[in-house]
Amino acid sequence: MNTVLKNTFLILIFTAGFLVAMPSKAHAYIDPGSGSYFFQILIAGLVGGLFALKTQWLKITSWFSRFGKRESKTRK
Amino acid sequence: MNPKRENSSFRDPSGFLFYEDGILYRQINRCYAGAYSHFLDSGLFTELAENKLLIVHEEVSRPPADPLLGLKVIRPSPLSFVSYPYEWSFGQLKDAALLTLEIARRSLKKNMILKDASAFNVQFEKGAPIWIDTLSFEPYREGSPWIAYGQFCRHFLAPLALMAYRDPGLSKLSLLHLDGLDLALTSRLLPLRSWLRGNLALHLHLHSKQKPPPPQATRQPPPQIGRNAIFGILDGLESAIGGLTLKKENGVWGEYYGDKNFYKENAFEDKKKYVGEFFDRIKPARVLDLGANTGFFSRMAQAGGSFSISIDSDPYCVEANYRQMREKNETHLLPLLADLASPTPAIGWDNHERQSLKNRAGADAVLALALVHHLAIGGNIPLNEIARFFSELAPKCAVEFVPKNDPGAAALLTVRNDIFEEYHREGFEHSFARYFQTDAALPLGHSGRILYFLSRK
Repeated sequence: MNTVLKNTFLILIFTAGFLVAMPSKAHAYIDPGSGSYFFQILIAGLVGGLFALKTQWLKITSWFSRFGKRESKTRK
Repeated sequence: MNPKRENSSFRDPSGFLFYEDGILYRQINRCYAGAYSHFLDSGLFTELAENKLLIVHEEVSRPPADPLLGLKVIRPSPLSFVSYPYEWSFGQLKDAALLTLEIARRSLKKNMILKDASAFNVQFEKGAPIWIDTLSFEPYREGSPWIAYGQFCRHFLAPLALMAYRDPGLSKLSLLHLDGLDLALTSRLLPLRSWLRGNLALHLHLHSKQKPPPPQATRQPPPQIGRNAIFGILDGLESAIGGLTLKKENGVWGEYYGDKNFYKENAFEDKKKYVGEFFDRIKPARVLDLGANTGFFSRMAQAGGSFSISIDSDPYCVEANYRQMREKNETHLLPLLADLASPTPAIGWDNHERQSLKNRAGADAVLALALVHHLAIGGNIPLNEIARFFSELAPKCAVEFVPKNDPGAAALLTVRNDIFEEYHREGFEHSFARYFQTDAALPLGHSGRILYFLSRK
Protein backbone atom coordinates (compact mmCIF):
# COMPACT_ATOMS: atom_id res chain seq x y z
CA MET A 1 0.00 0.00 0.00
CA ASN A 2 2.89 2.31 0.86
CA THR A 3 4.42 1.84 -2.60
CA VAL A 4 1.11 2.61 -4.29
CA LEU A 5 0.75 5.81 -2.26
CA LYS A 6 4.34 6.81 -3.01
CA ASN A 7 3.85 6.19 -6.72
CA THR A 8 0.54 8.06 -6.83
CA PHE A 9 2.16 10.97 -5.02
CA LEU A 10 5.03 11.02 -7.51
CA ILE A 11 2.69 10.91 -10.50
CA LEU A 12 0.41 13.62 -9.11
CA ILE A 13 3.27 15.97 -8.41
CA PHE A 14 4.61 15.65 -11.93
CA THR A 15 1.31 15.74 -13.71
CA ALA A 16 0.44 18.91 -11.82
CA GLY A 17 3.83 20.55 -12.19
CA PHE A 18 4.45 19.75 -15.82
CA LEU A 19 5.86 22.99 -17.14
CA VAL A 20 8.42 23.89 -19.74
CA ALA A 21 11.79 24.46 -18.11
CA MET A 22 14.76 26.65 -18.95
CA PRO A 23 16.91 25.75 -21.96
CA SER A 24 20.66 25.41 -22.33
CA LYS A 25 23.30 24.28 -24.82
CA ALA A 26 24.03 20.57 -25.06
CA HIS A 27 27.74 19.71 -24.91
CA ALA A 28 27.83 16.29 -26.50
CA TYR A 29 28.04 14.68 -29.89
CA ILE A 30 24.74 12.84 -29.54
CA ASP A 31 21.49 14.69 -29.85
CA PRO A 32 20.14 14.55 -26.32
CA GLY A 33 16.65 15.39 -27.56
CA SER A 34 15.66 18.76 -26.19
CA GLY A 35 12.55 17.26 -24.56
CA SER A 36 14.68 14.81 -22.54
CA TYR A 37 17.13 17.57 -21.67
CA PHE A 38 14.49 19.88 -20.24
CA PHE A 39 12.60 17.08 -18.59
CA GLN A 40 15.67 16.31 -16.48
CA ILE A 41 15.85 19.90 -15.35
CA LEU A 42 12.17 19.81 -14.50
CA ILE A 43 12.45 16.69 -12.35
CA ALA A 44 15.87 17.49 -10.88
CA GLY A 45 14.58 18.97 -7.62
CA LEU A 46 12.29 16.11 -6.79
CA VAL A 47 14.50 13.16 -7.79
CA GLY A 48 17.54 14.84 -6.18
CA GLY A 49 15.60 15.42 -2.97
CA LEU A 50 14.20 11.89 -2.90
CA PHE A 51 17.64 10.47 -3.54
CA ALA A 52 19.13 12.51 -0.69
CA LEU A 53 16.36 11.30 1.63
CA LYS A 54 16.90 7.71 0.55
CA THR A 55 20.66 7.98 1.13
CA GLN A 56 20.13 9.40 4.61
CA TRP A 57 17.54 6.78 5.39
CA LEU A 58 19.92 3.98 4.30
CA LYS A 59 22.65 5.49 6.50
CA ILE A 60 20.32 5.54 9.50
CA THR A 61 19.07 1.99 8.95
CA SER A 62 22.61 0.67 8.41
CA TRP A 63 23.75 2.46 11.60
CA PHE A 64 20.90 0.86 13.53
CA SER A 65 21.57 -2.55 12.04
CA ARG A 66 25.24 -2.26 13.09
CA PHE A 67 24.15 -1.10 16.49
CA GLY A 68 21.76 -4.05 16.65
CA LYS A 69 24.55 -6.46 15.75
CA ARG A 70 26.81 -5.05 18.47
CA GLU A 71 23.93 -5.35 20.90
CA SER A 72 23.37 -8.97 20.00
CA LYS A 73 27.10 -9.67 20.30
CA THR A 74 27.31 -8.11 23.76
CA ARG A 75 24.24 -10.05 24.79
CA LYS A 76 26.03 -13.25 23.86
CA MET B 1 47.60 -3.27 -45.86
CA ASN B 2 45.79 0.06 -45.47
CA PRO B 3 43.72 0.68 -42.34
CA LYS B 4 40.00 0.21 -42.91
CA ARG B 5 37.55 2.11 -40.74
CA GLU B 6 34.87 0.15 -38.94
CA ASN B 7 31.55 1.06 -40.58
CA SER B 8 29.74 1.72 -37.31
CA SER B 9 32.40 4.06 -35.91
CA PHE B 10 31.86 7.53 -37.30
CA ARG B 11 29.58 9.53 -35.00
CA ASP B 12 31.88 10.33 -32.10
CA PRO B 13 34.57 12.94 -32.93
CA SER B 14 36.68 11.60 -30.02
CA GLY B 15 38.04 8.76 -32.15
CA PHE B 16 37.16 5.76 -34.29
CA LEU B 17 37.76 2.06 -34.77
CA PHE B 18 39.76 0.67 -37.65
CA TYR B 19 41.10 -2.66 -38.83
CA GLU B 20 44.58 -3.46 -40.01
CA ASP B 21 45.80 -6.97 -40.84
CA GLY B 22 42.64 -8.32 -39.25
CA ILE B 23 43.29 -6.58 -35.92
CA LEU B 24 40.87 -4.05 -34.49
CA TYR B 25 42.35 -0.78 -33.19
CA ARG B 26 40.84 2.39 -31.79
CA GLN B 27 42.29 5.77 -32.65
CA ILE B 28 41.94 8.41 -29.95
CA ASN B 29 41.78 11.90 -31.39
CA ARG B 30 43.55 14.97 -29.98
CA CYS B 31 40.25 16.59 -29.06
CA TYR B 32 39.71 13.78 -26.53
CA ALA B 33 43.18 14.12 -24.93
CA GLY B 34 41.97 15.87 -21.76
CA ALA B 35 39.06 13.49 -21.19
CA TYR B 36 41.25 10.45 -21.80
CA SER B 37 43.86 11.67 -19.28
CA HIS B 38 41.11 12.27 -16.73
CA PHE B 39 39.69 8.82 -17.45
CA LEU B 40 43.05 7.17 -16.68
CA ASP B 41 44.27 9.50 -13.89
CA SER B 42 40.99 9.38 -11.94
CA GLY B 43 41.34 5.61 -11.66
CA LEU B 44 37.99 5.13 -13.42
CA PHE B 45 39.43 3.01 -16.21
CA THR B 46 41.19 0.71 -13.74
CA GLU B 47 38.09 0.43 -11.57
CA LEU B 48 35.79 -0.42 -14.50
CA ALA B 49 38.29 -2.82 -16.06
CA GLU B 50 39.02 -4.63 -12.79
CA ASN B 51 35.31 -5.11 -12.20
CA LYS B 52 34.90 -6.44 -15.74
CA LEU B 53 32.46 -3.66 -16.61
CA LEU B 54 34.56 -2.20 -19.43
CA ILE B 55 36.60 -3.87 -22.12
CA VAL B 56 40.35 -3.73 -21.45
CA HIS B 57 42.82 -2.37 -23.97
CA GLU B 58 46.51 -1.80 -24.45
CA GLU B 59 48.14 1.29 -25.87
CA VAL B 60 50.15 0.43 -28.97
CA SER B 61 52.97 2.30 -30.63
CA ARG B 62 51.63 2.19 -34.21
CA PRO B 63 50.88 5.58 -35.82
CA PRO B 64 47.26 6.84 -35.96
CA ALA B 65 45.21 5.86 -39.02
CA ASP B 66 44.34 9.53 -39.43
CA PRO B 67 47.50 11.43 -38.35
CA LEU B 68 45.86 14.85 -38.69
CA LEU B 69 43.42 14.09 -35.88
CA GLY B 70 45.11 11.28 -34.02
CA LEU B 71 46.63 11.39 -30.56
CA LYS B 72 47.29 7.72 -29.93
CA VAL B 73 46.08 4.23 -30.81
CA ILE B 74 44.79 1.56 -28.46
CA ARG B 75 44.06 -2.08 -29.12
CA PRO B 76 40.89 -3.29 -27.39
CA SER B 77 40.70 -6.89 -26.28
CA PRO B 78 39.01 -8.78 -29.17
CA LEU B 79 35.37 -9.86 -28.87
CA SER B 80 34.14 -13.38 -29.61
CA PHE B 81 31.10 -12.10 -31.49
CA VAL B 82 29.32 -8.81 -32.10
CA SER B 83 25.58 -8.97 -31.43
CA TYR B 84 22.95 -6.25 -31.50
CA PRO B 85 20.22 -5.27 -29.01
CA TYR B 86 17.44 -6.41 -31.37
CA GLU B 87 18.95 -9.90 -31.16
CA TRP B 88 18.84 -10.05 -27.35
CA SER B 89 16.32 -11.57 -25.02
CA PHE B 90 14.64 -9.59 -22.24
CA GLY B 91 17.23 -10.68 -19.66
CA GLN B 92 20.13 -9.73 -21.93
CA LEU B 93 18.76 -6.24 -22.53
CA LYS B 94 17.97 -5.82 -18.84
CA ASP B 95 21.48 -6.84 -17.78
CA ALA B 96 22.93 -4.50 -20.40
CA ALA B 97 20.78 -1.65 -19.01
CA LEU B 98 21.85 -2.31 -15.42
CA LEU B 99 25.49 -2.44 -16.53
CA THR B 100 25.09 0.96 -18.20
CA LEU B 101 23.61 2.51 -15.04
CA GLU B 102 26.35 0.99 -12.88
CA ILE B 103 29.01 2.47 -15.14
CA ALA B 104 27.27 5.85 -15.15
CA ARG B 105 27.14 5.85 -11.33
CA ARG B 106 30.79 4.87 -10.90
CA SER B 107 31.79 7.48 -13.48
CA LEU B 108 29.98 10.27 -11.64
CA LYS B 109 31.70 9.32 -8.41
CA LYS B 110 35.00 9.86 -10.24
CA ASN B 111 33.86 13.19 -11.68
CA MET B 112 33.15 11.83 -15.12
CA ILE B 113 29.89 11.27 -16.95
CA LEU B 114 28.76 8.75 -19.53
CA LYS B 115 28.26 10.88 -22.61
CA ASP B 116 26.30 8.25 -24.49
CA ALA B 117 24.14 5.37 -23.39
CA SER B 118 23.67 3.43 -26.60
CA ALA B 119 22.77 -0.24 -26.21
CA PHE B 120 25.18 -0.90 -29.09
CA ASN B 121 28.00 -0.06 -26.67
CA VAL B 122 27.30 -3.26 -24.77
CA GLN B 123 28.42 -6.69 -25.89
CA PHE B 124 28.27 -10.12 -24.28
CA GLU B 125 31.71 -11.56 -23.66
CA LYS B 126 32.58 -14.61 -21.60
CA GLY B 127 29.00 -14.94 -20.44
CA ALA B 128 28.44 -11.39 -19.18
CA PRO B 129 27.64 -7.95 -20.57
CA ILE B 130 30.55 -5.56 -20.97
CA TRP B 131 30.84 -1.92 -22.12
CA ILE B 132 32.99 -1.69 -25.23
CA ASP B 133 33.30 2.04 -25.95
CA THR B 134 36.37 3.36 -24.15
CA LEU B 135 35.65 6.91 -25.37
CA SER B 136 32.19 7.23 -23.79
CA PHE B 137 33.46 9.16 -20.77
CA GLU B 138 33.89 12.88 -20.39
CA PRO B 139 34.67 15.10 -17.41
CA TYR B 140 31.58 15.99 -15.42
CA ARG B 141 30.81 19.71 -15.37
CA GLU B 142 29.06 20.69 -12.17
CA GLY B 143 25.47 21.70 -12.92
CA SER B 144 25.16 19.87 -16.26
CA PRO B 145 22.33 17.40 -16.86
CA TRP B 146 23.08 13.81 -17.92
CA ILE B 147 23.27 14.28 -21.65
CA ALA B 148 22.59 10.60 -22.41
CA TYR B 149 19.42 10.39 -20.30
CA GLY B 150 17.01 10.44 -23.26
CA GLN B 151 19.13 7.94 -25.17
CA PHE B 152 19.18 5.57 -22.21
CA CYS B 153 15.38 5.69 -21.94
CA ARG B 154 14.96 5.06 -25.67
CA HIS B 155 17.54 2.27 -25.92
CA PHE B 156 16.77 0.41 -22.71
CA LEU B 157 13.77 1.52 -20.68
CA ALA B 158 11.28 1.72 -23.57
CA PRO B 159 11.97 -1.70 -25.16
CA LEU B 160 12.22 -3.40 -21.77
CA ALA B 161 8.86 -1.99 -20.69
CA LEU B 162 7.23 -3.17 -23.92
CA MET B 163 8.79 -6.62 -23.57
CA ALA B 164 7.65 -6.93 -19.97
CA TYR B 165 4.13 -5.55 -20.42
CA ARG B 166 3.33 -6.67 -23.96
CA ASP B 167 5.57 -9.29 -25.59
CA PRO B 168 9.23 -10.33 -25.20
CA GLY B 169 9.61 -10.44 -29.00
CA LEU B 170 9.26 -6.65 -29.12
CA SER B 171 13.03 -6.17 -28.75
CA LYS B 172 12.91 -6.40 -32.54
CA LEU B 173 11.20 -3.00 -32.66
CA SER B 174 14.69 -1.57 -32.15
CA LEU B 175 15.44 -2.67 -35.71
CA LEU B 176 13.11 0.09 -36.90
CA HIS B 177 14.42 2.65 -34.42
CA LEU B 178 18.19 2.49 -34.50
CA ASP B 179 18.63 5.25 -31.94
CA GLY B 180 16.09 3.73 -29.60
CA LEU B 181 12.30 3.60 -29.44
CA ASP B 182 10.34 6.80 -29.61
CA LEU B 183 9.06 7.40 -26.08
CA ALA B 184 5.71 8.81 -27.17
CA LEU B 185 5.09 5.72 -29.32
CA THR B 186 6.13 3.43 -26.46
CA SER B 187 3.88 5.28 -24.03
CA ARG B 188 0.90 4.79 -26.36
CA LEU B 189 1.67 1.07 -26.77
CA LEU B 190 1.93 0.36 -23.04
CA PRO B 191 -1.13 -0.56 -20.96
CA LEU B 192 -2.63 1.96 -18.57
CA ARG B 193 -1.54 -0.06 -15.55
CA SER B 194 2.09 0.73 -16.41
CA TRP B 195 1.34 4.27 -15.09
CA LEU B 196 0.99 2.79 -11.63
CA ARG B 197 4.75 2.27 -11.36
CA GLY B 198 6.15 5.60 -10.23
CA ASN B 199 9.56 5.48 -11.88
CA LEU B 200 8.16 4.10 -15.13
CA ALA B 201 5.44 6.76 -15.15
CA LEU B 202 8.07 9.42 -14.57
CA HIS B 203 10.96 8.35 -16.81
CA LEU B 204 8.86 6.99 -19.65
CA HIS B 205 5.27 8.26 -19.75
CA LEU B 206 5.75 11.81 -18.44
CA HIS B 207 9.18 12.05 -20.07
CA SER B 208 7.53 11.30 -23.44
CA LYS B 209 5.16 14.25 -23.01
CA GLN B 210 7.90 16.88 -22.59
CA LYS B 211 7.85 19.24 -25.55
CA PRO B 212 10.93 21.13 -26.77
CA PRO B 213 11.03 24.75 -25.54
CA PRO B 214 10.16 27.69 -27.83
CA PRO B 215 13.20 28.83 -29.89
CA GLN B 216 13.35 32.33 -28.34
CA ALA B 217 14.12 30.76 -24.96
CA THR B 218 17.53 29.46 -26.07
CA ARG B 219 19.42 32.68 -25.18
CA GLN B 220 18.61 32.44 -21.52
CA PRO B 221 21.37 31.33 -19.11
CA PRO B 222 21.79 27.56 -18.80
CA PRO B 223 19.95 25.95 -15.90
CA GLN B 224 21.83 23.99 -13.26
CA ILE B 225 21.07 20.49 -12.11
CA GLY B 226 22.72 19.11 -9.01
CA ARG B 227 24.90 16.01 -8.94
CA ASN B 228 22.44 14.49 -6.48
CA ALA B 229 19.68 14.84 -9.07
CA ILE B 230 21.71 12.80 -11.54
CA PHE B 231 22.31 10.14 -8.91
CA GLY B 232 18.56 10.27 -8.28
CA ILE B 233 17.79 9.78 -11.97
CA LEU B 234 20.19 6.82 -12.16
CA ASP B 235 18.62 5.35 -9.03
CA GLY B 236 15.09 5.84 -10.37
CA LEU B 237 15.99 4.24 -13.70
CA GLU B 238 17.53 1.30 -11.89
CA SER B 239 14.33 0.85 -9.85
CA ALA B 240 12.18 1.12 -12.97
CA ILE B 241 14.23 -1.47 -14.83
CA GLY B 242 14.78 -3.74 -11.83
CA GLY B 243 11.00 -3.90 -11.36
CA LEU B 244 10.34 -5.11 -14.91
CA THR B 245 9.98 -8.88 -15.27
CA LEU B 246 8.66 -11.25 -17.90
CA LYS B 247 5.25 -12.79 -17.30
CA LYS B 248 6.46 -16.35 -17.80
CA GLU B 249 8.67 -16.30 -14.76
CA ASN B 250 8.56 -18.37 -11.58
CA GLY B 251 10.59 -21.42 -12.38
CA VAL B 252 9.31 -22.63 -15.72
CA TRP B 253 12.38 -21.53 -17.66
CA GLY B 254 14.53 -24.58 -17.02
CA GLU B 255 11.89 -26.94 -18.41
CA TYR B 256 11.31 -25.13 -21.64
CA TYR B 257 12.38 -27.55 -24.34
CA GLY B 258 9.62 -27.93 -26.91
CA ASP B 259 10.86 -30.32 -29.58
CA LYS B 260 12.02 -33.02 -27.18
CA ASN B 261 8.44 -34.36 -27.07
CA PHE B 262 8.61 -35.32 -30.73
CA TYR B 263 11.40 -37.89 -30.32
CA LYS B 264 10.51 -41.56 -30.39
CA GLU B 265 12.32 -44.23 -28.40
CA ASN B 266 16.09 -43.80 -28.52
CA ALA B 267 16.14 -41.11 -31.17
CA PHE B 268 17.19 -38.36 -28.79
CA GLU B 269 19.94 -40.55 -27.23
CA ASP B 270 21.25 -41.36 -30.72
CA LYS B 271 21.21 -37.68 -31.61
CA LYS B 272 23.26 -36.75 -28.55
CA LYS B 273 25.79 -39.49 -29.28
CA TYR B 274 26.21 -38.57 -32.94
CA VAL B 275 26.41 -34.83 -32.35
CA GLY B 276 29.13 -35.55 -29.77
CA GLU B 277 31.00 -37.55 -32.41
CA PHE B 278 30.59 -34.70 -34.89
CA PHE B 279 32.26 -32.27 -32.46
CA ASP B 280 35.00 -34.77 -31.60
CA ARG B 281 35.73 -35.29 -35.27
CA ILE B 282 36.07 -31.67 -36.36
CA LYS B 283 36.83 -29.84 -33.10
CA PRO B 284 35.31 -26.52 -34.22
CA ALA B 285 36.50 -23.30 -32.59
CA ARG B 286 33.14 -21.67 -33.32
CA VAL B 287 29.79 -23.39 -33.72
CA LEU B 288 26.64 -21.84 -35.09
CA ASP B 289 23.71 -23.64 -33.51
CA LEU B 290 20.72 -22.73 -35.68
CA GLY B 291 17.30 -23.32 -34.13
CA ALA B 292 19.06 -23.97 -30.84
CA ASN B 293 15.95 -24.01 -28.65
CA THR B 294 17.31 -23.56 -25.10
CA GLY B 295 20.85 -24.47 -26.13
CA PHE B 296 21.18 -28.15 -25.18
CA PHE B 297 23.50 -28.95 -28.09
CA SER B 298 25.29 -25.59 -27.86
CA ARG B 299 26.30 -26.69 -24.37
CA MET B 300 27.66 -29.95 -25.73
CA ALA B 301 29.85 -27.89 -28.06
CA GLN B 302 30.83 -25.64 -25.18
CA ALA B 303 31.83 -28.65 -23.09
CA GLY B 304 34.21 -29.64 -25.88
CA GLY B 305 35.86 -26.20 -25.82
CA SER B 306 33.98 -24.58 -28.72
CA PHE B 307 32.33 -21.16 -28.59
CA SER B 308 28.66 -21.53 -29.53
CA ILE B 309 26.32 -18.96 -30.98
CA SER B 310 22.97 -20.33 -29.97
CA ILE B 311 20.23 -18.89 -32.20
CA ASP B 312 16.49 -19.32 -31.89
CA SER B 313 13.42 -17.39 -33.02
CA ASP B 314 11.43 -17.99 -29.81
CA PRO B 315 12.15 -15.19 -27.32
CA TYR B 316 11.20 -17.45 -24.39
CA CYS B 317 13.73 -20.09 -25.51
CA VAL B 318 16.45 -17.46 -25.84
CA GLU B 319 15.56 -16.10 -22.41
CA ALA B 320 15.70 -19.58 -20.86
CA ASN B 321 19.03 -20.19 -22.59
CA TYR B 322 20.44 -16.89 -21.30
CA ARG B 323 19.26 -17.49 -17.73
CA GLN B 324 20.88 -20.89 -17.73
CA MET B 325 24.11 -19.36 -19.02
CA ARG B 326 24.13 -16.75 -16.25
CA GLU B 327 23.19 -19.19 -13.50
CA LYS B 328 25.94 -21.61 -14.46
CA ASN B 329 28.49 -18.88 -15.24
CA GLU B 330 28.99 -20.30 -18.72
CA THR B 331 31.56 -18.44 -20.78
CA HIS B 332 31.58 -20.05 -24.23
CA LEU B 333 28.02 -19.45 -25.26
CA LEU B 334 25.95 -16.61 -26.70
CA PRO B 335 22.15 -17.02 -26.91
CA LEU B 336 20.66 -14.88 -29.69
CA LEU B 337 17.19 -14.12 -30.99
CA ALA B 338 16.82 -14.35 -34.77
CA ASP B 339 14.37 -15.73 -37.29
CA LEU B 340 16.44 -17.77 -39.73
CA ALA B 341 13.77 -17.42 -42.42
CA SER B 342 14.54 -13.70 -42.27
CA PRO B 343 17.91 -13.22 -40.51
CA THR B 344 18.86 -9.84 -39.05
CA PRO B 345 19.45 -7.46 -41.99
CA ALA B 346 22.22 -4.91 -42.46
CA ILE B 347 20.85 -1.53 -41.39
CA GLY B 348 21.80 2.00 -40.43
CA TRP B 349 23.71 4.62 -42.37
CA ASP B 350 24.38 3.56 -45.97
CA ASN B 351 22.94 0.15 -45.04
CA HIS B 352 26.20 -0.98 -43.52
CA GLU B 353 26.43 0.64 -40.10
CA ARG B 354 25.10 -2.53 -38.46
CA GLN B 355 25.94 -5.77 -40.22
CA SER B 356 23.61 -8.56 -41.22
CA LEU B 357 23.61 -11.70 -39.11
CA LYS B 358 24.97 -13.68 -42.03
CA ASN B 359 27.95 -11.36 -42.37
CA ARG B 360 28.85 -11.81 -38.72
CA ALA B 361 27.95 -15.44 -38.27
CA GLY B 362 30.71 -17.29 -40.12
CA ALA B 363 31.74 -20.36 -38.12
CA ASP B 364 33.68 -23.60 -38.32
CA ALA B 365 30.55 -25.69 -38.02
CA VAL B 366 26.81 -25.29 -38.40
CA LEU B 367 24.44 -27.33 -36.31
CA ALA B 368 20.94 -27.43 -37.83
CA LEU B 369 18.98 -29.90 -35.74
CA ALA B 370 15.24 -30.24 -36.28
CA LEU B 371 15.35 -26.99 -38.22
CA VAL B 372 15.12 -27.75 -41.94
CA HIS B 373 11.44 -28.81 -41.85
CA HIS B 374 10.57 -25.48 -40.18
CA LEU B 375 12.30 -23.57 -42.98
CA ALA B 376 11.18 -25.82 -45.85
CA ILE B 377 7.58 -26.59 -44.80
CA GLY B 378 6.91 -23.78 -42.33
CA GLY B 379 8.65 -21.11 -44.40
CA ASN B 380 8.27 -22.44 -48.01
CA ILE B 381 12.03 -22.14 -48.54
CA PRO B 382 13.34 -24.59 -51.20
CA LEU B 383 15.78 -27.23 -49.91
CA ASN B 384 18.55 -26.18 -52.32
CA GLU B 385 18.30 -22.61 -50.99
CA ILE B 386 18.66 -23.90 -47.43
CA ALA B 387 21.69 -25.97 -48.49
CA ARG B 388 23.31 -22.93 -50.14
CA PHE B 389 22.66 -20.78 -47.07
CA PHE B 390 24.31 -23.33 -44.76
CA SER B 391 27.27 -23.74 -47.14
CA GLU B 392 27.91 -20.00 -46.95
CA LEU B 393 28.05 -20.09 -43.16
CA ALA B 394 30.51 -22.90 -42.41
CA PRO B 395 32.60 -25.62 -44.09
CA LYS B 396 31.11 -28.37 -41.90
CA CYS B 397 27.48 -29.01 -41.04
CA ALA B 398 25.46 -31.45 -39.01
CA VAL B 399 21.92 -31.32 -40.42
CA GLU B 400 18.94 -33.31 -39.24
CA PHE B 401 16.35 -34.39 -41.78
CA VAL B 402 12.85 -34.80 -40.36
CA PRO B 403 10.48 -36.76 -42.66
CA LYS B 404 6.91 -35.61 -43.36
CA ASN B 405 5.37 -38.41 -41.30
CA ASP B 406 7.32 -37.36 -38.19
CA PRO B 407 5.01 -35.66 -35.64
CA GLY B 408 7.26 -32.56 -35.72
CA ALA B 409 6.84 -32.12 -39.50
CA ALA B 410 3.26 -33.42 -39.59
CA ALA B 411 2.27 -30.70 -37.12
CA LEU B 412 3.28 -28.13 -39.74
CA LEU B 413 1.06 -29.78 -42.36
CA THR B 414 -2.12 -30.26 -40.35
CA VAL B 415 -3.98 -27.26 -41.69
CA ARG B 416 -2.38 -26.72 -45.07
CA ASN B 417 -2.00 -28.48 -48.40
CA ASP B 418 1.11 -30.55 -48.84
CA ILE B 419 2.73 -28.69 -51.73
CA PHE B 420 6.20 -29.95 -50.86
CA GLU B 421 6.76 -32.69 -53.44
CA GLU B 422 10.54 -32.53 -53.16
CA TYR B 423 10.53 -32.80 -49.40
CA HIS B 424 11.71 -36.37 -48.84
CA ARG B 425 15.01 -38.06 -48.09
CA GLU B 426 16.12 -38.29 -51.72
CA GLY B 427 15.09 -34.70 -52.41
CA PHE B 428 17.04 -33.56 -49.37
CA GLU B 429 20.16 -35.49 -50.38
CA HIS B 430 19.93 -34.26 -53.96
CA SER B 431 19.61 -30.61 -52.88
CA PHE B 432 22.47 -30.75 -50.39
CA ALA B 433 24.75 -32.71 -52.78
CA ARG B 434 25.09 -29.58 -54.89
CA TYR B 435 26.99 -27.81 -52.10
CA PHE B 436 28.18 -30.59 -49.79
CA GLN B 437 29.59 -34.05 -49.79
CA THR B 438 28.03 -36.40 -47.28
CA ASP B 439 30.46 -37.75 -44.68
CA ALA B 440 27.81 -39.73 -42.81
CA ALA B 441 24.04 -40.32 -42.82
CA LEU B 442 22.95 -41.65 -39.46
CA PRO B 443 19.39 -42.80 -38.67
CA LEU B 444 18.15 -41.61 -35.29
CA GLY B 445 16.59 -44.67 -33.64
CA HIS B 446 13.46 -45.77 -35.48
CA SER B 447 12.14 -42.23 -35.76
CA GLY B 448 12.77 -41.93 -39.50
CA ARG B 449 14.93 -38.87 -38.80
CA ILE B 450 18.44 -38.86 -40.25
CA LEU B 451 21.44 -36.89 -39.10
CA TYR B 452 23.84 -35.91 -41.89
CA PHE B 453 27.46 -34.90 -41.44
CA LEU B 454 28.33 -32.70 -44.39
CA SER B 455 31.53 -31.11 -45.76
CA ARG B 456 31.39 -28.14 -48.09
CA LYS B 457 32.52 -28.90 -51.65
